[in-house]
Amino acid sequence: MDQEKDKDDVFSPFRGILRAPADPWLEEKVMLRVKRAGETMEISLGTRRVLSWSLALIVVLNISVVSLSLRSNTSGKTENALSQEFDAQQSIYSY
Amino acid sequence: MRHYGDRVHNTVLGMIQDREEAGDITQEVFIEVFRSVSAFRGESRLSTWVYRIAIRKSLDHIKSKKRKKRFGMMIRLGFGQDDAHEVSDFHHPGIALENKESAALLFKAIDGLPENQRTAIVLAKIEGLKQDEVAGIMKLSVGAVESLLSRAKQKLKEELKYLNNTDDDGSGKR
Repeated sequence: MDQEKDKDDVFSPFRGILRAPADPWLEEKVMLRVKRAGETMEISLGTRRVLSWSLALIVVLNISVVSLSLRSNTSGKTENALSQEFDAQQSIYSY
Repeated sequence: MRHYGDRVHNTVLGMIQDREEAGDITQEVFIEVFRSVSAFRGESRLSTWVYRIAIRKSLDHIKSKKRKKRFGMMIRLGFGQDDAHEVSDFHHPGIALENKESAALLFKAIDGLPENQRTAIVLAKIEGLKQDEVAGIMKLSVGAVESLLSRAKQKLKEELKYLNNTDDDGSGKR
């Protein structure tokens, strides 16, 4: 009777199935991967820090260069204006 | 890890039906367990939580494998190559020798089931958990698990009938 029931049961091939054993080195492998993942995270954190500092430095340098060039442009304009006035005065005196 | 190693590996192996890949996924499951153990709130049993991670990782792996397979098939079709490829039989190491052939057919049939039916079968029939434990892992009621199992059984019967016929023909094609 039981055998007939077994034959009818779809899962009869799984009867008495044993657990497939895990890799005996599973613990070591997992620990190694966890350690490596931690190191990679540290490296990426360091890289991110360096990158953000260099980006900040570039921004600061850019700002200072722009402000310097602006200042020199303004002073150039003033010099030009003064020289034109000087020329005009010179021409008046020459008359 | 010693306590859960075999359980997780057996579950993953039943789900993805590939020994090498199951080894990798088992490692990934424990890495996630290590990383997120602080987030475990103790609302369920630790084993339930670990099984959930194992099932989720296995299903993710199956999905990505299917995606790759589809992509590969498209490329093969694009290059005009034959897309007929052999699907090798999976032999679970815990199956009795006299059941090896029929179990391989059964695994082939399980491979074609929907995710939730497949999960219920692996947990209940391969991992040997009780229905209430399966229900806890799958976040379902015991009744829902029962119905999943009976529907899966019905589908498997049909699929096995078909597989047995094709095996007798020796064609192996649908």
